[in-house]
Amino acid sequence: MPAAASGSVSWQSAWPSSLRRHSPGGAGGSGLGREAAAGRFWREEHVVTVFTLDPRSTVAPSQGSGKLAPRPMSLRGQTLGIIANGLGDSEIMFDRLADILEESHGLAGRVKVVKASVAVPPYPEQWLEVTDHATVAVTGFGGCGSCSTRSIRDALDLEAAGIPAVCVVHDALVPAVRALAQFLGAADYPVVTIGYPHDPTGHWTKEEAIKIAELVARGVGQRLAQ
Amino acid sequence: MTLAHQYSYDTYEGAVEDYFRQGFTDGLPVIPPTPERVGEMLDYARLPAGQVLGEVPTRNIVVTAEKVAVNAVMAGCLPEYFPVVAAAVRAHLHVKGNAHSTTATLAGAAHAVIINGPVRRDIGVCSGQACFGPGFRANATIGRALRLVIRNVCNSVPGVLDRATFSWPLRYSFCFGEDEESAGWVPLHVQRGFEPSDSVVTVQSIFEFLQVLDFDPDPEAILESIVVYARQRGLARDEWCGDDRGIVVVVGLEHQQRLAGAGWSKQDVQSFLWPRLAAESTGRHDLQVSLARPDNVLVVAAGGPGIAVSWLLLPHLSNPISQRV
Repeated sequence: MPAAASGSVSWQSAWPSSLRRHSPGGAGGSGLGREAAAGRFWREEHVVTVFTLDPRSTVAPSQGSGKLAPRPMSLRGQTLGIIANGLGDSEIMFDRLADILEESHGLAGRVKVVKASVAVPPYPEQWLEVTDHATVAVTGFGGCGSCSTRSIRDALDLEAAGIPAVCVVHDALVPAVRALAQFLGAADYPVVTIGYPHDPTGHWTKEEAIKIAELVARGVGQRLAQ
Repeated sequence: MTLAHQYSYDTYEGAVEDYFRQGFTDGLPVIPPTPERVGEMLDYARLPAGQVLGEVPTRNIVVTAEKVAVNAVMAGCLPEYFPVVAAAVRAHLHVKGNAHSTTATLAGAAHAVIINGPVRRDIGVCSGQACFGPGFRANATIGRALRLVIRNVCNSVPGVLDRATFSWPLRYSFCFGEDEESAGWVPLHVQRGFEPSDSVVTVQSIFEFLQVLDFDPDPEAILESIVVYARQRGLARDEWCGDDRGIVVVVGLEHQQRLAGAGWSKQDVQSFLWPRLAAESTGRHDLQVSLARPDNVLVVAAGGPGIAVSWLLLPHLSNPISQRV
C-alpha cells in the first residue's frame, strides 16, 4: 500500500488503471449486489498524493571550475607538463608531441608523469612534480570511459592550480568528457580530439602514435597559448 | 528530516512511470521511494540521513545514507536489508574499490556482492542452489540497490558517464551468500580477518566471469582447470591496485565435495593455485595472473548440487573490499 500525504487510499487504487472499474450504483437493489453480479466493481475513490524522494546526488562544482588559467603569449620558453594515464601506447604519442612542440613552438622542456593506473589521480608527489616545474600541461589519453573522464579532471585541476592545460581525447569519448566537465561546472572546457580509424583505447603501432602526435600538435599548441 | 528533493504524484502508478521517464531506473519498475519508506530504512540501520558513506572524488560526489536508502527502497529492499546495502556501498566507495574507474569504463565492469555471516540466514540470502540467479529477494534487491546507487547517486548513466561498450546482465544485480556450512571450510570473512560471528560484505569488481566445468574426481585436475581458464585471460599488474588485488574463485558444491572430501582446505586450494596462476606468461594464450600472494585468491563456497562447476571472477581495476555489516 503506497503511503499518502493526505486522504485515504482505496486498495484498488494500487492496481494499474486498466484493471479498475468505475460503476455507479442504481435502483432495484444494492448497487454492490447488482454490479457484483454483473462482474463489475463498485468503489469509492479518494484523492491521493504520493510524495517521493529524488534518488540522485547533487554534484558540487570544483573550486575554480570553468575558469581557465591565463595563457602565455606563446609556448616559447615554457615547460610542458604531461600527466599521462599510460593507456595503450599513448605515452609514445605524448613523447613525440613534446618533441614537436619543442621543435616548432620553442618549448623549453618537459616533465612527464605516468599515473599508477589509468583512471586515478596522479600521486601527490607526481602532482607536485608537474605543478612545481610545468608552466603549461597536457593530459590524457582520453580513450576509455574512465580514463578519459579522469584525464579531463586532471586538466581542470591543473587549470585551477593556475597551469594552462588541455586534454587529448578520442572522439568516441567526447560525450563522457563533456558530461563530467559539465558536472564539474566547466561545460565549455575545450579539448583536442582525434578520431577513427585510430583506436579509442590507444592500441596503436609506434608509427601510428607518432602520426597522432603530429595530428594533435597544432591544436594543443593553440589551446595552451594565446 | 529529508535532505532530498521531493516529487508529488496523484497516483502510485504515476510515480512509477515518472521514474522511468526521468531515467532513475535500470529499465525495470521501481518502488516509489516515499519519505516513510526511506525513513524505515534509515531507522533500521540507525543511520542519520546525512551520514556520509563514501565519495567519488573524481566526480565531486558525496554519497549519503539517505540517498542510498532512497535507492534501496526503489530496488525493492526490505528495511532489514539496508545495513547490508550500506556496507556494500561503503565497500564499493572505498578508495581501492576505485568506484570511478569501475563504473565509467568501456569494459562495463560489474560488481559482485558476497555476503558472509549470520545475516545470511537473518534476511534469507541464498548461497546454495541457483544463488547467482533470480528468485531470491535479498540477493536480487541488495545487488540491485548497489547498482541503482551507482547509476543515480554516482551518475553512472549509460551514454553519459557509463561508457560500457556492451554492458551485461550482471549489472542489474549480482549478490550471493557464501555457503559456509557445506564444505566445512573457513569462511571468506574469517580468512580476511573478521570474527565468525560478524556479518560481512565483500565487494569485488568483475571484468571477466568464467565458468570452469570439470568432472574429474581428482582435486588437482580440477584446480589445474581453474588455472588454465584463468591464464587464458591473464591479469596484468596494476601499480595502483598493488599487492592486494585479488581474484574470486567460487567453488561449486560438487567441486567442494571432491576437494574437501580429499582433505583439501581453502588454504590448500590457495597454495596450489597461486604459484601456477602467478607464473610468468609463456605465450598469447597462457598469461600471468599477477597476484602477490596465495590469499589474494579469494575462495568462496557456493552453489547447488549437480554439475561439477566453479566460477572465476576476474577483477577490473579494483581490489576486493570487505566491510562489516
